[in-house]
Amino acid sequence: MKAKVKLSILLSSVLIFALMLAFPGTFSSATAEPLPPIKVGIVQSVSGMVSDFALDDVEGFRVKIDEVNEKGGVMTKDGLRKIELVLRDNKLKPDIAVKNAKELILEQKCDFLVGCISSGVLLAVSSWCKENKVLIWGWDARTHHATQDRGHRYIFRSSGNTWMNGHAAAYYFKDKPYTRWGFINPDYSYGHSEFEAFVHGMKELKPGFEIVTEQWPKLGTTDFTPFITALMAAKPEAVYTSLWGTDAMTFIKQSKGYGLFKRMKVCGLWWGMPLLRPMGQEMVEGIYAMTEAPFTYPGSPENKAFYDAYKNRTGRMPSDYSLLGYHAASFVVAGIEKAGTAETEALIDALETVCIDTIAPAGRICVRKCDHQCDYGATMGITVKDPQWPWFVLKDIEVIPGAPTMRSCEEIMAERAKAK
Amino acid sequence: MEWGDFFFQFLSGLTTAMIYFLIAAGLTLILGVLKIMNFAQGGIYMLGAYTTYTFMKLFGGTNLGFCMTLIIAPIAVAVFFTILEIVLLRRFYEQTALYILLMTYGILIATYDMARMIWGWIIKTAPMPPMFQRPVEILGRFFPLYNVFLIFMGFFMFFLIWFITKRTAWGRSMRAAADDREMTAALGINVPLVFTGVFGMGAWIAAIGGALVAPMAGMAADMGIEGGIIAFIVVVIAGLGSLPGALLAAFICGEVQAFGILVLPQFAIAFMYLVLVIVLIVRPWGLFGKAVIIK
Repeated sequence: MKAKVKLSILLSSVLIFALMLAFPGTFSSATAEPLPPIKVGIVQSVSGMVSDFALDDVEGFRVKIDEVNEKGGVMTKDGLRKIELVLRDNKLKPDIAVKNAKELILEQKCDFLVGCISSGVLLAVSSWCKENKVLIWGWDARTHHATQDRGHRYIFRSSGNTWMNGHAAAYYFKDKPYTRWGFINPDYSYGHSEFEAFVHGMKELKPGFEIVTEQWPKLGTTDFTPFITALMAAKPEAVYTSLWGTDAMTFIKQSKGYGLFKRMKVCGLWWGMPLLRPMGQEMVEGIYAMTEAPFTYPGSPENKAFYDAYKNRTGRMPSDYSLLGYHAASFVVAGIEKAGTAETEALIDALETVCIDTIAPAGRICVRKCDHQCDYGATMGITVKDPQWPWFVLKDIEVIPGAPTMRSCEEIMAERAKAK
Repeated sequence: MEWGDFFFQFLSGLTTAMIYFLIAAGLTLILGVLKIMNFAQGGIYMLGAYTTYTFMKLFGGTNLGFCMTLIIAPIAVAVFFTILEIVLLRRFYEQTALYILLMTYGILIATYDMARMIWGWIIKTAPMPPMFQRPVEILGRFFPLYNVFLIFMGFFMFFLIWFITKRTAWGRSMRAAADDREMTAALGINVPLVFTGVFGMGAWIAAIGGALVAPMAGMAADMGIEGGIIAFIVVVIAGLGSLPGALLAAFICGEVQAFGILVLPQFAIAFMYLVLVIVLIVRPWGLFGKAVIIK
């Protein structure tokens, strides 16, 4: 291990040296400038299973930061300061992420951290940050524990969480005629959280709500056929699932053959943008799906500007994840401007009351002071074929405001007190 | 719940069983003849799926394209692993079993990284061929035609392997080499060649399993590890090296899982392991295996 660390230090110093040789102008001008840049450390899993999504987060964040830097930087008490990003890959491993966090803060002298696509990583980095009084801004990882029972002063999150997403789906379905629900969710903490949140919301909002079957295939199942027949045998009116990625794809392909989508309505929680693209024409029409940022909506000029900037930068179309990154950057920049500094405690105080205008249907979203969770509104729609795109899109889009789906401050504080 | 639901659950279980059988059949064949545990089997299955994806993209996802892919992709994978056997594995047969375990495990990890390098991390799926895109109606319910095809292919492969091993000259030398390597070699049969052939055939069967799964599932590089574990469970329940045992064990695993899901969904995943535990306690040598008495 030690040898590895040494090697990586050696390699990075060689790299920095090479960069200095390659771009002498940039570095000398940087030293000549009176104000040093604000350094932001990114803790993200850019290699591994979720690397594509994870890179979208990072690139979206970069688009906003580039915007700011082009204008000369962000206005602080001392004047304009540019923002510099330092990215470290944690390969989805919490222990590597904590090591990265330490290195970013102690050696790279970053002012604060952003990132995390995996819940496990966010929880690990968050507890390190709590101990060391370092600000961490979560942009994607969804476990509600991070801002509820395990929340603290030093963590913020701009994306929604499992509690909010499940409740948003319940809000959406309270006026729909389905009461007999079947469930199929991946058998690990994420699947259970989404299930519990939705069931909790439905029990409150929908009279006559009934669970007719619960299926728990494990993550990475390649054969869903017995689950599908069991689901159909229970004859639910609608099915709720938080299966995602490969699992969701396999489930859809196999369910089609059984005519499942003709017999019952299906709500695929995260079958919005992240799944529509890889599924292409194999997707099914009439599925309820959630997303936080459908890229064709609302078609505002800001939306279009982001789309173009993103495409110029990366050569790809933005995804939901790119928007999550972009919004996280908007918050951070707004916070620094308000505080006039990137100093941790002052920045936290400023961030606690920051609102931004998103370029997603969610509209204006704010940080909630008590738990540092943003009220990012979710968007539900129905899948439909669109000749304009090589994949399906969502129609009849409805925005569910974030605030009513959040757990109350009193409940969260009571949970935190209990956790201690 | 009507009895039709039970029948459908049975059919679903049968589909699962056939996938299990195809992954396990190659393993049990290699184990029976070469007497080695091939950890790479799951990786072969995974590569079979990925090459199917590539070939189907090449041929454009038509019916003919699918048929051609089903022939070409598994052979391509089998050839690749046959070369690996000649270059890497062959020299370790006479060594202690540990070397082979490490080597095949190493190959598994290598295939995993190879798949990631070639196909990347984005989830892939091969298109469903048009001829299978309609369901058949059984008891007023829909059953995917592709699953019918899969069940047929499972039985077809069983009889094909059975025929090759029991009714052909090559199969006879295979069985002879399995029984007594030295005596077979003394009779003028090229034993290393037979071994290479068996390894290649084992790889081919697993790759067919992967190829058949490709149009119905999403692919990820780690499906090989998952597939490998199931293959081991099936082979252990079957009795090491027994082909009919593998079919029966796959059938039991598939159906136990299917009905577990129907009756007690919260514990569904445990049922297969429960069968494994019971077999290991009651008949440690497996359903069709021979008891070995160690003196």
